[in-house]
Amino acid sequence: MTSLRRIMEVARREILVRGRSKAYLLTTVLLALAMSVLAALPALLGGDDEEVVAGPALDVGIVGTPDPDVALALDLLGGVLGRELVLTDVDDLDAARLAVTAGELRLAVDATAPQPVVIAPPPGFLEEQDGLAAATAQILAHTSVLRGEGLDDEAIANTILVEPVEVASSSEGDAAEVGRRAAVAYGGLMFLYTTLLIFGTWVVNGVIEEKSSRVVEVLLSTLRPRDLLAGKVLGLGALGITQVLAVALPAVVVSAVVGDGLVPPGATPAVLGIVGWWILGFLLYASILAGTGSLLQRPEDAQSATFPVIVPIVGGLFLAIAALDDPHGLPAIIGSYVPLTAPMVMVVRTTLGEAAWWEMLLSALSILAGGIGATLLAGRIYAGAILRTRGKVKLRDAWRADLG
Amino acid sequence: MLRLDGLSRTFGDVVALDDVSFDVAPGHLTGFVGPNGAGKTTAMRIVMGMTLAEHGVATWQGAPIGFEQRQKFGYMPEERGLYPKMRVRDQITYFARLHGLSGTEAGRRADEWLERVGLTERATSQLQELSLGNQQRVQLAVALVHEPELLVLDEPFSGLDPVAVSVMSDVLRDRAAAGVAVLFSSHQLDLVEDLCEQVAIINAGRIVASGALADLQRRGRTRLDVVVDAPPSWIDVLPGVEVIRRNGDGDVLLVLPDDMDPQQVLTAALAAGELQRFSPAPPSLSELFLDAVRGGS
Repeated sequence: MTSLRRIMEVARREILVRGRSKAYLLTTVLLALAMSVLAALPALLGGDDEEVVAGPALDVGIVGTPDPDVALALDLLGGVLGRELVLTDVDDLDAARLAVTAGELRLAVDATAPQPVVIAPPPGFLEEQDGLAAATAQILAHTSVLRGEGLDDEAIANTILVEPVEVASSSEGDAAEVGRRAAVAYGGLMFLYTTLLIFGTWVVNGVIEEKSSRVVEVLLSTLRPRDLLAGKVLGLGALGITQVLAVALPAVVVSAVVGDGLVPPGATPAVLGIVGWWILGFLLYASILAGTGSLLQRPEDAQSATFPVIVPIVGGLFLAIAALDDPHGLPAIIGSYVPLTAPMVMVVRTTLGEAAWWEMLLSALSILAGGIGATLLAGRIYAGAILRTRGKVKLRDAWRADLG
Repeated sequence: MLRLDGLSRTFGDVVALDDVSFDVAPGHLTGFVGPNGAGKTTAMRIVMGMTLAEHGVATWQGAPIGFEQRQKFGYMPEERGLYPKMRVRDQITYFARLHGLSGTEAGRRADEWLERVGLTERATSQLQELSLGNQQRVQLAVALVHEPELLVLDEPFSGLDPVAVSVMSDVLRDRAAAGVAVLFSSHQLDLVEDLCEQVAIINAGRIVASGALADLQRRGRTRLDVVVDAPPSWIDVLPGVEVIRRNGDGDVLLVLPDDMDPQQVLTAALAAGELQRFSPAPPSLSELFLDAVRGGS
């Protein structure tokens, strides 16, 4: 029987025993459902941008009785601004000035003069006030000029209420997409961090369980320690990947179906890339944690003993959060190539679309190299420590153990 | 044949094994006995590759034992261990598959062994729900499910009730009859004497006696169980004869000096009075064991 077949048998047992547990099945299904809803939310809530009312109604005062041109111009003003105008008759010019200055009216139009006059608050008194007064004055003037050209109400309205040209954000790309990518990157990061820790803990507990129940001695009469280690990491990794896919696939598929979902179309490969970073990260962390677990006797020792391993992982989380703000900053760049922090930092940078292909390759290679190194190291410690079932094993003793 | 050839092993200042050699032949049960801490477990762990020998070698069919050969061995370690939360049948099937059996074959054998050890009705129970004795039956099934050529069992009878002892004995006899080499350690010397034709006695890391039990029993000085209807002073005429048991009503157990012919004893007994019994009384394993251990220490 080949080593590979034995590894697969060990992996199969992990998948059957743990994958059949109600907790795992329920978590996986709930995650998939929650992600499907979350992915559809932007489309469900967003609606059509053009129907959005730009702001609350505007209070505009009128002094005197407006002629039909002024009345038409005020009517059109609401259309241009996309806001409702509430017209209030004001007794005289002084009362109008007072009401505008007091903020009771946003502006007033004096229709008693031969040419209408716009009464606005002093400059800078209110945000957008200058623009509003200027727009009102412009429309009043245009209406008057167009009427002079002999146009009727409909023609004047058609001329003034033209479809505006597109307004583009001054930042690169679509602002909404950038925001959504950041949300996906943040969500992906937290998910990666949490699941890596959860499945890493499963590895530690699995190793301790085999040691404390003494089954390991029976196992190692048929298996090489490294095959047992590899099978365990593989089996638990498969369960982890299933859960990661249960989140990533609904996010991508639902977003594509609703058209305007959580994952912008351009970010789909990056989201699927999270699966890749998860695999690399899991291989690295699981090997180290399995090696650590083999030194212990009791599950209650796990938390304190794995602390030195968890610290760099938490450090990676902080570097990755820094990378959300500044994906090309020094912490992000360094974090991309340190194996223990790279999976998390790179999830953020690739999802934001802020990592070149060679950066991804280099980072993946560094994690892979770290993973291979950790597997060899952990494999030796594991083989040396796994059969010592009396008391906590010192790292040095495990390393020097004479087992082949 | 399993051969332990000059195995030595120390742990710090403690000498666990010192030049340990003996054979375990196919088709026989070999009992491995010795006081606590004598080195039985260490020797068995070396055979199973759990510990390395510093000197000497363990061989199977003439070749040093390696990983591939151990695939044909069945092992029950001193500290029992299986997965507490795994179902009994799944557990046996898993170990069968690890030994290379196909899924169907592993399932079939698991069912067979469950029946053999009387646990068919507990097939879907978690191991931890079983009594310790029943857990030990599962452990035996795990050790045997792949039909090994050599069985290495460390204290397989410890903690078993009489029914389980009987099941275990039957299984071991049956395996030996099928040509399997069986090495097991035990403190229950009567049981070993009952089951085994071969024994190895270890004390303080050294083998003090090993071989066919009948040979070992013949090897020492001649012992006679004699009942004569006369006062025990009739023995005084036999120089060098040791009385190791005296039961009143004329029953004595005698150990003869090496050069004495039992006929001399018979003549003296007949002369003393009515002879009711005159029979050879080979030492029990317990006696051999105590002699060997006392002699060695």
